[in-house]
Order: sequence, then structure tokens, then C-alpha cells
Amino acid sequence: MNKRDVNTAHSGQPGLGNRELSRRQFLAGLSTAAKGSLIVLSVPAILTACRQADESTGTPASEQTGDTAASPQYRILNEALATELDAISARIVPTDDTPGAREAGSVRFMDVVLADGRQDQLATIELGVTELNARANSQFGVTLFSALNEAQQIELLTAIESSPFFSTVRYLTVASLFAMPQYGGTGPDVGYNLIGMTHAHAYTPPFGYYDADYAARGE
Amino acid sequence: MAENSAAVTFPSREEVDFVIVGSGAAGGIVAKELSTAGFKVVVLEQGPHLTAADFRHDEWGIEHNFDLMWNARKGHPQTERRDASETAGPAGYGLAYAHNVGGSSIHFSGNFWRLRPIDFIEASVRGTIPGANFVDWPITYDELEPYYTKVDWEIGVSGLQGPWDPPRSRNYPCPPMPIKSSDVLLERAGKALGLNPYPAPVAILSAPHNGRPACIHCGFCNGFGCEANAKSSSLVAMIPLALASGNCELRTSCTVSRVNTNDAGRVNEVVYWDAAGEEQAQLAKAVVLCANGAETPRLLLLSASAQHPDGLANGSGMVGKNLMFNGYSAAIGLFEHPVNAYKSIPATRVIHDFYELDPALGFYGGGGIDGRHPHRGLPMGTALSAGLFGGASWGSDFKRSMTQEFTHTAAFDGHTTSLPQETNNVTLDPDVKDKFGRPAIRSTYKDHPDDIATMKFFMERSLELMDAAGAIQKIGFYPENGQQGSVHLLGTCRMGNDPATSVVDKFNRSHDVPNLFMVDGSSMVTSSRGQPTMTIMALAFRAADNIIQFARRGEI
Repeated sequence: MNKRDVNTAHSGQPGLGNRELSRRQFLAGLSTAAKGSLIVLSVPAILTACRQADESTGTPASEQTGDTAASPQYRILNEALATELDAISARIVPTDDTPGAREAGSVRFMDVVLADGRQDQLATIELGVTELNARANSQFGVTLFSALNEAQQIELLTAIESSPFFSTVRYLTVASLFAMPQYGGTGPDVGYNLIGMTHAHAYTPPFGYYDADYAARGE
Repeated sequence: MAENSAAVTFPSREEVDFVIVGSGAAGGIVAKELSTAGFKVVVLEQGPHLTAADFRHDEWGIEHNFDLMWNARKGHPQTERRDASETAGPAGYGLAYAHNVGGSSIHFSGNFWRLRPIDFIEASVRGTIPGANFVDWPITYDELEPYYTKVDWEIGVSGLQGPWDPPRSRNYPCPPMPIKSSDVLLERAGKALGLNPYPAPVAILSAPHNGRPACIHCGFCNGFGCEANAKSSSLVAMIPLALASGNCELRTSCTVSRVNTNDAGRVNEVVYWDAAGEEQAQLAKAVVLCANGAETPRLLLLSASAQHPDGLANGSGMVGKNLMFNGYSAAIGLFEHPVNAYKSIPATRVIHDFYELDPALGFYGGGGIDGRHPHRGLPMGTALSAGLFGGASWGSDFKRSMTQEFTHTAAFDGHTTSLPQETNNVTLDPDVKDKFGRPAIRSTYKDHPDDIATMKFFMERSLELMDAAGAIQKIGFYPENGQQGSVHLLGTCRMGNDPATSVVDKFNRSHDVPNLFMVDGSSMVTSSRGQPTMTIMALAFRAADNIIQFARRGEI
């Protein structure tokens, strides 16, 4: 590990200690720091933030949302939850002229990651989806986020993009593009291709434009 | 996983010559040196014996599941706070290190800067610093130099003597690694500003050495184990030699709970849980703790007894104190052409013109700047952070911004000093326990104001270098509110001549317990300029050399 990596230079994440959030504020966002900042919260930190926001409502999330049996094709996600997570992840990394979250098997990755020792976080993910569906209903009169059109989905997600719930789903979606298939998705080649990585097992110089130029000039 | 770690086995109820706790950067060296000198050695390592075949480009596993490290999810919580007035809360990153044979030397970046003569006498030269426990080392550069050279050749270091490098008795065994585009940008910028960039010394082989192959530039380096055995860890450079000696038994998945002492006040037994969770105890004539700057003091504190009520070897009260991390800063720049800094090793050039900052600045500090990839070359990490230059972090434009940040960026990273402070320390958490029931590590840490000022200074220099390098856009950062948690765990059993103010003597022997040695980052008196492992390894070779002489003379 390198303490200098901006990904891990996240001590003192704003908002993580904030226990005054109401349930209504859950999707409104803990802070704006996570968005567009150098700080990318680790999954455990984000999930902790979700749980804290959840605890602030005074009601356990499992009681708020109810438990539904996992779909046969997933280890922990039920069908309804998987459908909404699929819709959200497809807006985070859309499929266009290149593959997106759907081609990377993002939801299957989320299922494996949550089932792998993070089962206690499922209720908070469900809560986020429930809240998002409630917004879909109040703003557009449609009961499910997945049933909205693309522009409406983008509008709703933009409104919650600094929330811990969105950060978590974004985190898992983006990670799925690059994760080994053992974690449930189809990566990592989907991500490697998207990000412009020459994916070879070994490289030889020149590595980039400037060291090629350096050699050509005999520096 | 190595099939059989034990080339020889020793009965636990018969004394061996040495028990070594920990097989990392220092422990691997001490094990090799003592066993090849003919002493019977048992090494207790809490992690598994992984090999190159176990190391893959699995970013989710390494970076997000922390496969190489223990944490709260695995039953090993830590707590942290900024000062003693606070109640410590769950640690974020914590005091982090790899749990496996070879310790953190398998996943380090391999930057092997020697200390310079000034590092050992800097307190005398600079004078006291308010709020800091800043003192000279009990040894000099000249005393350590032969052991730095031993590290170069026995561990395997690539490099080229730089303009201001301290004197060396022998050249590097391997030439410098080929320059990367990120470091071409740094080198050209540095020269334009009148600075002296030069090849970074690294514990990664540029050419075959000691039967190991050269680096294949795969890029999954810092944070990852080396699948080519080109990174010079103690796992590949030392442990095989120790096992081949026929005198070293390596017991893996063995977690030490305490070190016992006899009526004469000498250590005689190391108690541990074996891989099956059964409690075992190994008798020993002497014990060497190489468990790192967090676990070594923790183990000493856990080994308190009626004879040693404040912890073993803690007559000075300094066990766990003076914890140092090293500071850091960075500037990230966006460039016109592909940099592709994700390929090859982390850094190939370094600027050491700011090794000692001018006292006229009003604060103490120093360090170096090297060129890197902003996200350690990691594609997942880069995509997760995308948006640094205002690009989209999700949605249809996200794909373009992530590519730009992966292939067209370079980082100029500062690596800097931390001052020793007694108030920064490792203690036992009074409430939180690990899965074995041991009190958790509690770190108390607040960067000294001079450390913060130094990090800011280095960020500003890096930003100037970015301008000189022609960056289209740039951003800089440093932990302006101070660090919590680190991978550099230094100073917590400091070396010194005075038993009242230090834990070990100049030979790494406990002042209080004559057959107990502490050899790892905890011995360091000052922090280095941000790359301590070379010095930890040199100290290990030196300590082992002296331990062998003491043992042969019957002085242990």
C-alpha cells in the first residue's frame, strides 16, 4: 500500500461522523466532498456512512424495508432490488458505442461483494433504493426508478449524486468493470479496454510518448 | 502457497538459540544471518507463506478486500485518535502492514534511499525543536554504510550514484531501471528549474541478480506481491537462504501473544497461537522481535509482568512512543501526450535538492520528489477517482475522463520527514479486543506543525515542477489537517545510548533485558526522508552481525 495514493488518503472523511441526518436527508447527501474530490471513500467507509445515516432514523433499516428472499440467480439480492441496481448502474456507466456496467455484470458483482461478509449492509442498500423509488413516484408518478426514462433517471441521480447511497452504488459499479471474474462480474477486460490500458502481462520501453522522445533525442 | 515452510523442525519444549517474531524486511534478514551462521532459529510469522504464484493482478482483492492485510473485518480492529484527551474510535486505514512471510517487503514500492550522514546527527546540527523529541542517533552513517552495501548486494538494489548521494563502498549491483514518461517530465522540469534529478534507487532488479530475474514492468507493483520475483523482498532474497541453512524453522499462521521472562529477568519463552488456534510456547535462549513499529511495542506492552509492570523492556517508558509516519504531498498534472505511467515500477527518477530545507524557512523538514502515476497505476483506483480535472465521474462522459486520467497524467510526489513526539504513540486500547482477545492497537497521532509545513512546501515545489513540465492542468494536495494511519511505522522502540530515554542500545539490544533484541522500524530515531525500508534492512544486517558476535563470545 502506498499512503501517497489519493485513493487511500481519505482520513477524516467529511460527514462520516454526522449522526443528525434524518431519513429524509438520507439521499440528500452527507457532504459534497466525496464528489469530484481527491477522496474516494473505501467501500467499508461508505457503507458505514450509509449505516450511520440509517441509524439516525431510529428505526432499523430491516424493519423499514422488510426482508425479501434472494432471487435464485443471486446469492443475496432479490429480484426487485437487482432490477433497480441494474438500472442505476446502467446510468453510472452506460452502454453506448462501448460496453458499460451491464456488459460487465455489475449487479452480479454487487451481489457477490455484499454476500461476502457484508450481508449486514444489504438493508441500507435496500433503503436507498426504496427512497429512490419514492422520489420517482413523487416527482414523476412512476413507482419504480427502473421504469423512468433515461432523462428522468439522470435527473434523479444527479440530485442524489453526493449521497452515500449513490457513492456506494457508483463505487461498486465502477469497481465491477475492473474486478476479476471470481467476484461475479465479467471483468477486468471491460474496464481495461474502457480506460485505455494496453493490457499485456509485461511491457517493454518505451512506455509512453515522453520516454520514446527522450530515447530518440538521446537524453 | 509454499508447500512446506519448514526445512527443519525443533521441539517447542527444548531451547532453540533464537526465536524471531516476524519474517518481514528485518525478520527475514535476521533469520537468514543467524541461521546461516549456525544458530538454531525458529521464526514465528502470523501470516501465510505465499509465493510468486499467489500474486496476481487482482485489484479488488488486494486494494478493497485487503487480502494481504488484517483489519477489523478479519477480527483485528485498531483504534486511533489525535491526542490523549480523545477517546479513540475505529481506525480508518490504521497502522497498516502486510501479514505474510516477507511482511510489507512483498508489497512495498521498493524505493531504497539511504539515509545521509546528516540524518544521524541532525538534532545536534539543527538544535532542539519545540514539541519534538528530536535527538541524534547513537550510530553514524559510516557505521551503517557497510550494511547499506550489504542490502544493495544481498537484497538486490538497482541505481546509480547521484550527485549528492552519501559515499558508498561499492557500486550498485544493477543499473538503474529504464526511465518512464512520468519521470522524463520530472527530469526535464527539474533541470529547467536548476535542480538535479537522478535515477531513483529501487529494490527491484533491472537485470538478473542472485538467481532472480529482471523486472518485466507489469505495473502491478506498489501494493502487490511480485509475480516475477524481481522485487527484492525478504520473501525471495532472504527466506530461501534461511530455510536452506537447515537451521531455521519457519512457523506460519502463528500469532504471538506474549514473551515470558524467568526469575533472572531474562526472556526464555515465546507464547503463541498456532495455525489451529492452539496455544504453544517455544523455549529460547534469546528472542529477536521484528514485528514492525506497531506490533513490536504492542507485544512488549502485552508482555507486562510483576517484574515488568509497564511492559517488557520498558524501563524508559519509551516503548510505543515517538511514532513517526513520514509525510507526503503530490501534484497531479494532465499532459498532452500519453504518459502511461501505469506501466513498470512506481518511480524511476528522484529530486533530492530539498533533502534539507533552509532553516530560514522557519520550520524543520526535508525530503524528496519522484515521478509516479497518480493512482499507483491502478485502473480501478483511477476510474473510482475520475473527475480530478473537472471531468464527469459518472454517466456518458465518464468513460472519457477516466481514460484521460489513466493514460495522460503524472504525479510528482513529495516524501518527507516526520518529527518524533512522545505524544504520538502506540498503546493498548482499553476497550477494543481482537479475535484472540488481545487489546487492540491504539494509535495516537498528530503531525507536528513543522511536518505539515514541510508537506505544504513540497506540494508547492511539485506544482512548480508541473508548470515547468508543461502540464495542461494541475492540482496539488497534502494532508493539511494531518495524517491518521500510515504504512510507515517508525520510532516506537527507539535506539539510544541512554537507558532512561531509549529502548534499545546501538546494537538493537534491550537496555533492560540482555537476551532480547528489537530489530525493525521501531528502532529508528528519526524518520528518514520518507523511504525507511532500506535503513530498516541495513539496521537488521548490522544487528544480526553484532548478535552473532555477542553469541559467539557468550555475551547474550
